[in-house]
Amino acid sequence: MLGSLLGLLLSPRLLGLILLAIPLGIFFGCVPGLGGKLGIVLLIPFVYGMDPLPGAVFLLAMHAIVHTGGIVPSMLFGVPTNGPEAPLLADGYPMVRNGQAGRALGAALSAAGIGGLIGVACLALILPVVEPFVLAFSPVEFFWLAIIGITLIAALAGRMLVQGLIVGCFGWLVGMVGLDPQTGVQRYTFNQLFLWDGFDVISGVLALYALPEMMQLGRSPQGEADRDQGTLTRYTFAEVWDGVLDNARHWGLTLLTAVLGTFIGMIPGLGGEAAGWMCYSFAVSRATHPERFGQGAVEGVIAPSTGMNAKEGGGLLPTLFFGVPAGSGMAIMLGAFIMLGIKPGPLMAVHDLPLVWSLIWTIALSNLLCTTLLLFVGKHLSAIADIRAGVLVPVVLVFALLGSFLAKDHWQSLLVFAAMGAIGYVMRRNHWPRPCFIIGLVLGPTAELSFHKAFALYGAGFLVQPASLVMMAIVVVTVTFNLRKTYAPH
Amino acid sequence: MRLTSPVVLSLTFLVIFSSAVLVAKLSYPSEAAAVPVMVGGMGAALSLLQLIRDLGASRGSTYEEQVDLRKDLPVYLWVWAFAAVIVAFGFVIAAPVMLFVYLRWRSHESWWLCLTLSVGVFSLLYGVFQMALGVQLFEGLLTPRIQDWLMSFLKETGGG
Repeated sequence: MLGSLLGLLLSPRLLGLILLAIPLGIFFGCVPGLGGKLGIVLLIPFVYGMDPLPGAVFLLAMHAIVHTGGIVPSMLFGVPTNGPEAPLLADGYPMVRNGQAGRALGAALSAAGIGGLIGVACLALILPVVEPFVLAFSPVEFFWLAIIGITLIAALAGRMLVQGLIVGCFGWLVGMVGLDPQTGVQRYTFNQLFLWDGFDVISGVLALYALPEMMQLGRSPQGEADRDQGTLTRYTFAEVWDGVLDNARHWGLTLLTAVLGTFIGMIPGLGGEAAGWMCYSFAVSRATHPERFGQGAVEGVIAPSTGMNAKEGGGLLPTLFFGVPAGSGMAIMLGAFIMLGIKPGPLMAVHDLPLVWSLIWTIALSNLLCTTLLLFVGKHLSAIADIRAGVLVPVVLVFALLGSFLAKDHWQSLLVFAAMGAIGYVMRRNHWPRPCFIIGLVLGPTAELSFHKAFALYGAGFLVQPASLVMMAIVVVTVTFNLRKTYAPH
Repeated sequence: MRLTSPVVLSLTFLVIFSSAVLVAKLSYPSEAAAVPVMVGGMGAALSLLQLIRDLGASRGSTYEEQVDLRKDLPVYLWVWAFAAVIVAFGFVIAAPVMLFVYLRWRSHESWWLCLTLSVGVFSLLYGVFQMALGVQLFEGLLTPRIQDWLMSFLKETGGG
């Protein structure tokens, strides 16, 4: 455990990669429309050919602090740079408008840092009991875990359930491209050699995210926030420090929302947005004067900041030990891990614990360094949000095409990227839930393979095993809960 | 009934899923076809349901955020052109050239910024990726032939 920390701190290469990843993560967080998911896929070319540990450390260090980077421009301009930062605006922006920009940023940034640290601490505490637990899993449990993950499409899709299911089925269908794991027959390869080893997650995400987002940015001038507030966003370090101390004043809330965020992060399908809003709701529910929320209550800033960063630590658990990504960001990270040669699954608890500890320490270190950095230089970073779309779009697309090519090393991937990007763009314009595609693409093949293995081991009887019945019940409860939540009259 | 973008999208998915089911049924052994038929069939049924809903909505709708070809097409065509130039000449040549084209003629940026960014991307791809990291980027289908032709031309003229 401590050996992994020393390994990180004493290796100039690993430490250098973390230090390099932090400004990149802040950049992806600050620029509206980029975010952590695009950040990972755009940085894939840079880790191509790297050893698993440095590559994973670099990507995870960047991804872990993206939301922290997004806090500054989101709160100062009142425009969330990415979805998970949205709950911060409910009270963060009113605080800025009330002349408390320094305190709001200090509270949010330090809460995000503390959340990130508590998230990995919770994961570290759980780790010793993970090994016997995950090793007890057979293909039956893996099949049902994948199905549980797929049913979370209902949560991701919200009121667009039919569209979400269509997109999920499309992802699953695309995941079938390649050689059938059971019979070795080519499926949907159209006799193209480059499709034999399947469709890779990175190319799919690039096509469905990078191209549509850049086309959207390229069609209109970059969203103009309220920039006539120079006086409102001027603040001193003493005010920032006052915000940092707010976390100590509300230590119970900080601690509880960090633990809550960690556990939300462990549930596949619930993303950063859910963690932020659920922690915000928690803060409102335990407040003695809930009417202060929405008017600039500092607790309304602390709770979502802590939750959205704490969930990164929790999200590593299902991603690394079950191969079931906790959210769309972790789904892309899972694809990147596999590309780097890491094999997520129960055997990681046996053979790769040093790597797991290194990743845990990476999240902790990057949160600590990023928060400290932003507390001092945060206000200067808001300028990054002003990069013109006309410059950003072609540069991002250069890296998107490069990432799409390097993911498979076939030039035909570029044509697939362009063709699928059109579908992604129309989906985006019509607000169809694109994360469902990634869930289908990642979990569909896992479900199919586990089904074949379970069937070969136990026959159709595996469906009535006690474990199957319990997990089937979880599926039914999850779907019912999500459908009720979505369609219940408000 | 109007051919709105949601209608086109649902129809596209219906065609994709139906074709997938048909291909699986006709071409693969039953073991390999079972899951594609199940997933494709479910997707086709859902797409049909969505298509019916979208067609109904398109009748009553007065406004739809249309896909505006004048705004949307230039970036998309540039991506296809970029992909085509990469296929022909490879990344190291295509990326700076196409970046310059976009920045200068689509974004109307200054010559100075266009040149700086293009040179920056070239340096990154050639210097960092190819030289420093040893990543062999795709060199295009035409570039090796042009190189061969140039070499033989130079040899001939040198020899003559």
